[in-house]
Amino acid sequence: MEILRVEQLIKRFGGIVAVDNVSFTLQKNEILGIIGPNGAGKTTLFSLISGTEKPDSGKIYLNGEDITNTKPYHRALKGLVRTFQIVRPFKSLTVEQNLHAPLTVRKIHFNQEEAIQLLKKLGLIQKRNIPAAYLTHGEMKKLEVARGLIAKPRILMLDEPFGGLTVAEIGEVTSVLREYYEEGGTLVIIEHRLRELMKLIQRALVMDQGKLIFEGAPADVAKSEAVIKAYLGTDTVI
Amino acid sequence: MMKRLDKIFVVTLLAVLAAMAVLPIALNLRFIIFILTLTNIFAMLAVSWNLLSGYMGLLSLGHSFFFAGGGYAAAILSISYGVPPVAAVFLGALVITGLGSLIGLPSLKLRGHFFALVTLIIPIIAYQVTNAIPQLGGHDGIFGIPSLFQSAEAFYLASLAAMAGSVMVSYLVMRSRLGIIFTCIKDDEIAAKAAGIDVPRYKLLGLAISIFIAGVAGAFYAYLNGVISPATYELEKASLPLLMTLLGGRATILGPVVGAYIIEILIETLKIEVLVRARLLIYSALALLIFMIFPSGIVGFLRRKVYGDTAG
Repeated sequence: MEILRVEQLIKRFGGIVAVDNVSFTLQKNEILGIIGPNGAGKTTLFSLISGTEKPDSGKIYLNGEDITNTKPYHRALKGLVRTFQIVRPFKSLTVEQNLHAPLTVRKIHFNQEEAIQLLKKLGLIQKRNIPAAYLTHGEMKKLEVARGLIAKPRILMLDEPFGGLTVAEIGEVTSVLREYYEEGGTLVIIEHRLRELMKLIQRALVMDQGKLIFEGAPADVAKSEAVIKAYLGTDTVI
Repeated sequence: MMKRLDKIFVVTLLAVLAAMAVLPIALNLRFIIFILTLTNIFAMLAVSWNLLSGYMGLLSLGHSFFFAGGGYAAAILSISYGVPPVAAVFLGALVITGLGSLIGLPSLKLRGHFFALVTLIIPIIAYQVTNAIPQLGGHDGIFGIPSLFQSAEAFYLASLAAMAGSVMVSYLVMRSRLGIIFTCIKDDEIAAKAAGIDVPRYKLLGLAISIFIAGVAGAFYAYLNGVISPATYELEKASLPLLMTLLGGRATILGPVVGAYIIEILIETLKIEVLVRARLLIYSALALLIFMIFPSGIVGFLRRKVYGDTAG
């Protein structure tokens, strides 16, 4: 069942086309990975879908509803939740209050026990009552994932969730994401740590210079000439 | 369950409040009662500034507009429409809340210094407009505002109750889900939107609560002096709540009150002509010292010492 449809999205910043006529669909309970070299337009695509940026043209549908011109908070309340590549915790709030924050505007009761369990799984339980400003970068990344999950999103869009994390921390994050997926959740993940990403996703999109250059199974990504050229600048693998 | 330390704190606070209510009247300190009434009024103004600027991070340099506006609205309601003074205090505050929210609405899209600059301009425009309107008393302002209460003691107790009430409102707001929402907006608007928070709506709500408290304070001020004039818009009134809150502790419940009491006592005890003339210079120097020595204010500093944290 289709949950998200992106149609011919274009976003320009001055003379640069950051997202160039990108279209794709996302199925319910799917894990989609988006990869590409730096500056490929992945984060801009996320910003367009989440409403942080407005597209110059194109359409976005969530569950068949056109949400192209809706505000970011409206999309979040509809279940389209994102995290950020550069972490954005609510630094004055404690770790637990950070989890309470998205629920203050939703009809979801803040279940403290659920929050505690989530923090335990992510190795943040010891930091539960301290302001998020005192967390390490990796802990802030994990807190963003937890803040996204606690809101019970229809689609959770994660922008480089493994960035700056240790192998053990990546394991913790992967584990909670798998749990969310097994409970029917849908994920879109931008990530540069390809080895870890490929184990998690079911389908991959590859972007380069704003364009979608590959769409298919993770196993086929490395076989694509367009992908090899985008990453290595040549069409031959050394 | 309330922690033992919190219980001691609440009991101490109630005892201080009771002593403040009883002692000046029992000792018949009439001049002190006037000063304390004025201090309570400025403490209220500082509490209102702290809600918007301390907790929500929207730096207001124009709270004197809401303060004076509350005073003008209450005075006009009392004199021209015969509204009983106590009702006029709240109605006046409501009027300026409506007007201030309407004027403030477009500026809520701004952030940081841009918002601060707009709020700085609003009292300047209001000063000129008030001067030009004869119905508002022009340059001289509105005179002959009837007294809120017959006795200075009753006025003092009412100001103390109103100040305590504004602190309670501030406490309840910041302990509710609104407090979390306001803090999210202060910390990161983009993340707040991504979390599902309708940022402009909650900014407007915070602004309205803040204006209402400033409006009540302004109405008390007008009734205390029996006059309200365009001088109330001046930079000094706009900077006082900021200075009081920074000294006492920004984004703390009691910080604005502590700061207001220290600064008002300083002003009244140091009423030497040369110091009065140079007061804006003194305020500025004091603000600089606070930023350098006590960046989190007195209450913020004490809280870190006692609780060892920075949580509200």
